[in-house]
Amino acid sequence: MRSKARSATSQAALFGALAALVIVTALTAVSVGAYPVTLSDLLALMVGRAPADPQAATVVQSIRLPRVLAALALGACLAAAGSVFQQIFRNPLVSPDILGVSAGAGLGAVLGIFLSLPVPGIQFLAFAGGLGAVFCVMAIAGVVRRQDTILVLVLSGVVIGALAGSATSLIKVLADPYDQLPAITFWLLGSLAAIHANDMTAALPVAACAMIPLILLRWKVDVLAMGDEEACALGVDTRRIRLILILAATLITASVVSFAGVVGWVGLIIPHCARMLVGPGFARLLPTAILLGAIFMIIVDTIARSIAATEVPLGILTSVIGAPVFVFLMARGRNAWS
Amino acid sequence: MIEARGLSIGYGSRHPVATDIALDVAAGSITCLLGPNGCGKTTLLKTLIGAIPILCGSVRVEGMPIDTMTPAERARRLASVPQQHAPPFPFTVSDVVMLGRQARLGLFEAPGSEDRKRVQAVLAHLGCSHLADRDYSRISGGQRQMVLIARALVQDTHALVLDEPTASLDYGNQIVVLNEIAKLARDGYTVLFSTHDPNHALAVADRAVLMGNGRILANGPAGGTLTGERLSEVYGVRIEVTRLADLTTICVPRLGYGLNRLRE
Repeated sequence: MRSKARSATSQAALFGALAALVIVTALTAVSVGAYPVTLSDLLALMVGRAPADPQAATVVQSIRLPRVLAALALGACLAAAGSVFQQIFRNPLVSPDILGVSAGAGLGAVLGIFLSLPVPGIQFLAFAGGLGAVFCVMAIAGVVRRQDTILVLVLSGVVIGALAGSATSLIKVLADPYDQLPAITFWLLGSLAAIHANDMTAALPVAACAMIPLILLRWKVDVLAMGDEEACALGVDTRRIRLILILAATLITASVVSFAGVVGWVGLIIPHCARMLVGPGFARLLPTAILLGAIFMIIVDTIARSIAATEVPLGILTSVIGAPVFVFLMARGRNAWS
Repeated sequence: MIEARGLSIGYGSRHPVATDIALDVAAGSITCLLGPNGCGKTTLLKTLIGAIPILCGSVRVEGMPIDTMTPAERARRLASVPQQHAPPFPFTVSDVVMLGRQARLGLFEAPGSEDRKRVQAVLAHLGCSHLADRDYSRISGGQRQMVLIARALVQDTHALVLDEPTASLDYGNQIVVLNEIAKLARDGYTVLFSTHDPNHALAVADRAVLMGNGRILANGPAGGTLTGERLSEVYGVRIEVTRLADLTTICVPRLGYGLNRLRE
């Protein structure tokens, strides 16, 4: 693994290349679809001129662009949250769902659909459910005072996740099988099919604000990866910093899950890929994971809406892609794990 | 430099691992902590560096009570070298050493060129410059020990606490690490380390502290404290301490004498 970008210049070049790739992928995604938009029309729209095809403006501005932005944000946020969680739980197999965010958000959204709430209501319940689940986990960890905080957190996450999962199943049993159940199933597999620009106006600022502590505390994250006692001996207040990081990563995950539904694998696989490119140092890992996550999700969402006549749920595609990638990483041995 | 009074240590107040510990580590000296498995050496060292809470009594470092300091304040006075283990991710050696600078950086501060210079200087001082870009999880045990010592040194403290720095090293590397410890004391560091080999204490330590049965059994100049009688009693096997022609003191086990049972 001597190819990791170490020097400042090669790092800057890598970030530049990835950022350019995000833009290229996004532009391609905007032009691809059931109603193709030509490159010249796209460029015309970007510089504010009228495109040759008058329909292009509507397609791009009100359908494609919001959707591509949503995919970009979804991938970036899940990858960022995954990177933080893997590092602070000192485990490369951890995903952002570890503390029950997705299970809680799923329960909230399913409840919203069951109660026939409008979209903002469903989103709010999803967001609140995600946060609520993690607060329950933190509360359990606060009550069960043992030496191994990490283990208590992970096990509490399993417990709360299972509880939320069974509550979700109960609502599915009670839900109207023709109207509500398909919506519930679709939501639980994640989809951007029905996304509108104003669906994200609440979620994206929250995610962006929660990103700030991750960026500011990026140098402390590596210390936490050494384990509690060592981090403490190195002069880092582990309890406080871990709490801040968990809250930030939870807010990030809950806000994107609230509009996109539960999309698995991204937060697990992308941090691995980023680590293979730049190594485990969090200051390099975070931006790399964010950019890779954005690229990956834009591509996956474009496939989701163009591979078949009907939309394929994102969660299905990410697991179809994620599972073999995971096996590949496993086969490459320990170094690829990490 | 490090001072403990009436100290009880352990992971819960109901079952202290050891009680009534009084300890003084004088500035510029090497103190060695000895005792059988499970006697609380690691627990004592963790308590002294503030990694686990004090059950009872007090610990002062440079005259300041350790339990009133923030982790960063502690880490600027006392550096520790833990028993080694591989981190879950392949950090480079310089990444790992750089972590030692964290106590000197603000909460949001990034390591700067000064910190990088310090890391390079310390690695060079320990003869480990060639390891800087290597994967920390893939170097040898001896190299890893040196890297952890480097990480403690970049904390720029006056005192170092090392938990079994020679454990699981081959014979040659054990001696290299002991030599380094002796050198650190000559450079003015105060060193406290634990070991399983009384010869390590006899070779480099000014003072020896012998633990067992939940308390400190003996504490004094290494040569006078580590007698054959005491060592035989503590470890439950026959050990003799003898002097070589050049007046070096060494201890040797005598096989085939007395009880030969594994202790609990």
